[in-house]
Amino acid sequence: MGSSVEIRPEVEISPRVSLLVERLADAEIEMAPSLPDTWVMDIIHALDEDPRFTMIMVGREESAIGICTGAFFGGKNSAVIMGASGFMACIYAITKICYTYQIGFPIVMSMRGGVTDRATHHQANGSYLEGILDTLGMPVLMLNEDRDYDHIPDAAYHARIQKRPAIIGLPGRP
Amino acid sequence: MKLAEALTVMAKQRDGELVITAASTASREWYRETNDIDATFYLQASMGISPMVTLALAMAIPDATVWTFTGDGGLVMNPSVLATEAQYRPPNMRHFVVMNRVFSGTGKLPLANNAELDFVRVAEGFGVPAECCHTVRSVEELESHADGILSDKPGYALVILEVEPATDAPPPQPPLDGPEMKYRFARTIEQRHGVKVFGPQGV
Repeated sequence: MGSSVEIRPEVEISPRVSLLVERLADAEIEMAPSLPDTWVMDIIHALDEDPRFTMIMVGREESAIGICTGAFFGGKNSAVIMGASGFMACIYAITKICYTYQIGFPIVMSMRGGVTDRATHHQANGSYLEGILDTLGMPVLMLNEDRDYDHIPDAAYHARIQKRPAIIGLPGRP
Repeated sequence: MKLAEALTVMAKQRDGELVITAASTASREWYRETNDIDATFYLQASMGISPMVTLALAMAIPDATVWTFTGDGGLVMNPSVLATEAQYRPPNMRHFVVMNRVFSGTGKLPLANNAELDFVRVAEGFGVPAECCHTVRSVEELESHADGILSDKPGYALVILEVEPATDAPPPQPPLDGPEMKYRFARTIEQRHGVKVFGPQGV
């Protein structure tokens, strides 16, 4: 295997991050291709530190779609961990692969640009993200309350039934 | 070297390897050469992503040797796959880059700076060890790899196939749509490798 430069990640493992990781384990997720934004970086680090998962850092989010596709054929459950902007960047991969070949898996994603998000660089996500998800007919499970996390395994299985990705949406940094 | 000649050698050497092709002429040429619609997954119309499908499949099923084809246009589009490949380097993965230096399916227009492109240097820059990188320019050279990268001996390899742009009309695509390709490939994997891709409800 290749090597990694040792750098101490600046992350925080909150109770909700731990809860999310446990629910991904309940969903029998084994591979987690990821690319961070500030709302999902803690989750990615937690998965990387947990021997139940293989967190695979990618260079572009569309590569994560490819990894989940390969995991599907390998009989392994997987979930993408990425930010909203990353989702926008991989619509090509999602439509060309997931929708063409009818392959579904969960995408844990930051729902940036909402009413309470004060980041100006997510203005475009605020304007278009929900509309695009609606246009694609992509199911969304929003993690607004702790009890919503209990449905993560349902969302993962729903993606297989629907044969398209299911979004597990984060309204903020958990 | 013509791509068709290279694929003839590879098809002859193939011994149960799973194959994932990409959105490139290799996809059509591989189908023409093999007529394989079971152990080959034709990942058409998604450039630069087939290596990641292959990486994950290889990691998920260590006893399966998996070949992938990428067009050079696709690899230029998503070169960071090489960084992820370099990190994991599954010993059962072989990544073949079809290097004809043009966009074959769209007018054979040249890739940017096509004469200077050197994917071995790119790969090494992303951390792929030099000993894993191979450039093949002739059928004889490819045949010399029969006991190595074209066999099931363990060892990740990135292989640049230097080929001439095709002059003939492209062969036809495999006569399958996406879902049928998915089910055929997945059921073949289940039968050959004892893997459960689909659950009891068939999803």
